[in-house]
Amino acid sequence: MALLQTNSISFGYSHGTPFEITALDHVSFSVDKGETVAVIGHTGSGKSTLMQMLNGLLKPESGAVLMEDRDIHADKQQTRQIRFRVGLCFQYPEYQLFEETCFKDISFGPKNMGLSEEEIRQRVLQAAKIVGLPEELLEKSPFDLSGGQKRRCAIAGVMAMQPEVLILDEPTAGLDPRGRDAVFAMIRSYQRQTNAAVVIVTHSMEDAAQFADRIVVMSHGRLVLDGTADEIFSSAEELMNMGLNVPASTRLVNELRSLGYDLPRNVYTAQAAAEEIASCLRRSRP
Amino acid sequence: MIRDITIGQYFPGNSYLHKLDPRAKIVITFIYIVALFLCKNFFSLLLLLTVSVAAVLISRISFRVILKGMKMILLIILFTAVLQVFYNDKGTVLWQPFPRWDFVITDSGVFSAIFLSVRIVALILFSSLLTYTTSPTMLTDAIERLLSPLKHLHVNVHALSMMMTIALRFIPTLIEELNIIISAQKARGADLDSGSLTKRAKALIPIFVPLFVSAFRRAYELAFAMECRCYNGDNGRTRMKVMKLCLRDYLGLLASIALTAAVIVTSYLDLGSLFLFESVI
Amino acid sequence: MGNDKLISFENVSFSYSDESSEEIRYALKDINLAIHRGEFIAVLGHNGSGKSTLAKLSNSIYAPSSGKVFVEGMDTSDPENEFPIRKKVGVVFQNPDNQIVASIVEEDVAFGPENLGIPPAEIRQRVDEALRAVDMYGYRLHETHRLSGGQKQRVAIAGMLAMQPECLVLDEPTAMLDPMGRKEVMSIVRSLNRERGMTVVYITHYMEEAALADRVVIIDNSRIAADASPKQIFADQALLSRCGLAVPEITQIAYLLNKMGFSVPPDILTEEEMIQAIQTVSRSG
Repeated sequence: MALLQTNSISFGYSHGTPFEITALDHVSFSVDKGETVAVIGHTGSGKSTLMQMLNGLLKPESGAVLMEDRDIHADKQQTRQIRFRVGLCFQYPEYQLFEETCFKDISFGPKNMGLSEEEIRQRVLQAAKIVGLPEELLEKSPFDLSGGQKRRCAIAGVMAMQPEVLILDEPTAGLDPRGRDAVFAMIRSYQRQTNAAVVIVTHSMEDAAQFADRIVVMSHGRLVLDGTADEIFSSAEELMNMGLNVPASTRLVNELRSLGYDLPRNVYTAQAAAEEIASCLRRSRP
Repeated sequence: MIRDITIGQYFPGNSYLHKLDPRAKIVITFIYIVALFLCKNFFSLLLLLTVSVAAVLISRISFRVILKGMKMILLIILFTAVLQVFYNDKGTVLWQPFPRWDFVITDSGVFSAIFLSVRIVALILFSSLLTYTTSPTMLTDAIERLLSPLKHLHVNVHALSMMMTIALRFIPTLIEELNIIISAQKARGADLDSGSLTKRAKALIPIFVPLFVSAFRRAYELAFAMECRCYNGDNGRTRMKVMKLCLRDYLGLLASIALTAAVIVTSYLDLGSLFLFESVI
Repeated sequence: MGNDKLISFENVSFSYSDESSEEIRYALKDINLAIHRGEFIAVLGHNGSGKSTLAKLSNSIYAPSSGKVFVEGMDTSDPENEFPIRKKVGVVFQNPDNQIVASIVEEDVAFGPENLGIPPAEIRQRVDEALRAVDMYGYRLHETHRLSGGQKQRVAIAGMLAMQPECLVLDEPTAMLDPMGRKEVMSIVRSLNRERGMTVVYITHYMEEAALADRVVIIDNSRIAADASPKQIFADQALLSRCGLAVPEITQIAYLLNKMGFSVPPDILTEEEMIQAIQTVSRSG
């Protein structure tokens, strides 16, 4: 039994207009406790629609979304509770900050859950600690923070609900390498403390390869690949045909392979590429 | 879905209507609306509706697209028509559905409901063609020109039209953003559809604060971008598309005046009461 | 190129007062930088390093707090020069949505030349040419809000080109785009420089994009930390990590191979160079 799964769900926008789109086409996806899954695909591949299916914001036209084997749309009251168990952090979440203080903003989710004052306080402090937001900033207005701090505050707002599944849509969009590493560190830290399942939507193959246990590739509303980084990058050509960017290391090694060098297919980090190329060069030495 | 709304959209094309000077189009639309309000009987209404339909045919925009855009409004029309039927108790009684109650459907009620609906449909058909066949910038430019006499009263007509251009440009962007904010706050458990009135009003704060913050941020950035593009009000500003009234514009204006004259003649002069039905509006 | 200076920053500082602490902060401090005609310069730096202030200083949107910025000898602090300077230096910003004024592509591109008072027939010509240069001519009658991020950004670039500037300054033009949009924008900017000789100042934090420039300037802590060729910059791992920047993957591989004792130059930037280097090693081995 998977913690959260979709059973062959389909969904479309704007039926009967010239702008009709099939966003999801019989997608079956699942994620388990403690697991980290990266969902990859270019804009319009359906990945953002899939995310909104997972926490019940959208309802599939066919198929079902199951949390611990129970249909999340079975009754309405339950659907709302699902949003607390499956936390969804949208792209550029700092644009959704609204409260007078960071503390209040982070407590918005827990408050909606109907928790006690003390419990809310505890959760806010804990979430702020995970995202590295110093306590003295909590009484400041979120609009006075720097860009990076705003992002932290917004992510804390989702973590404070302590969801069992944490979904983040492009959490590193617009961040520089330092900011990106910081965001991944806080997600890791949340996962260690709660054993939550983590789903990350990203454009970056490098991020997916480094961060996730499993990678899922979406294209034109379909789930086309699902496997470990090793398995996914073995089909580098297929990925490039879908308009996805594979890591430079993978491209280089593939290029060398086609020139006759004896190298493995599943290379996707600079370290691995250097080691494989080195051992290949040593082997070919007389 | 909000993205289905097509009202106010522009469908580029090359028809007679697309080529008409936007100023002429605005004036013709205005004259047509006046004619609609002057029209008092079915004959002239039919004439106006025919003109509307003919205009759609000339524009070569498919009826399907136009009807799709009117879906919401058709519902409103239906609702007003039903009210009209129930409200009007003059004329001959056609049907009394509940004999115990003082509630009847009369011929006059039915006729006035039909009359009203046809009138609104014709109005929307014709006036939506204005936006369907004119790009937003041309439309606001035309309004600017038409209102230019107000400059003498120290009204900044150019600023007004620039505001309209920017509003038309940003409405879809802000609607999209609104949808995202609503979803994001719902994902944090915001409850927008239940509770007392004050509770619901309060629930809008998490939606509208971010929307306003974002609108201000956009305005600020847009101001920079406009400065970078040497915007300096209408000082020395030229236009890529020059507006020049030509024969087809005068013909169009003439036709709309003739139409209005025809409506007045049939509505107000007693020309053989054969096809005149005195509507009770 | 030679000494043909287009823009020069001379001892430029830009400060602002922080509302919460009331102390004066510097976005840029003591910047000396010359941009020559036809050059493609990448300006690198992490978020908040002050690199974006550079864009607004270059076309007289901001005036420096101290020091001077000159565009073809014109002082940007002199209000008289405002419009002549903006005509010469076109700036494209990060958020594609917030720099498009009109609802229809061609009407947006026409906005700049209209402000300049160009005759209608010439505007038409400039707009068509600019749209072709960014490969968006087929979209001239499309609605701007339905375009993809990369397309919007190309329209914004066309809007600048239609003003026929001497130099394009792009302030993180790809930060909000997906990989496809990034590629589109990057290849357009590159061809504008290579084929049309457009001077380009490209502000970014993506190393792969900076690798395509002739010259890389790193801004760190409001100051210029380095100004050299991409090869020199990317081979200096200590410098990059000090400035919070990542090393491009290919250069990383070259560095590692070099450290393992292979005679691979540590300053390789592109895949082609790398393949050549490996072929040389395996032949000589």
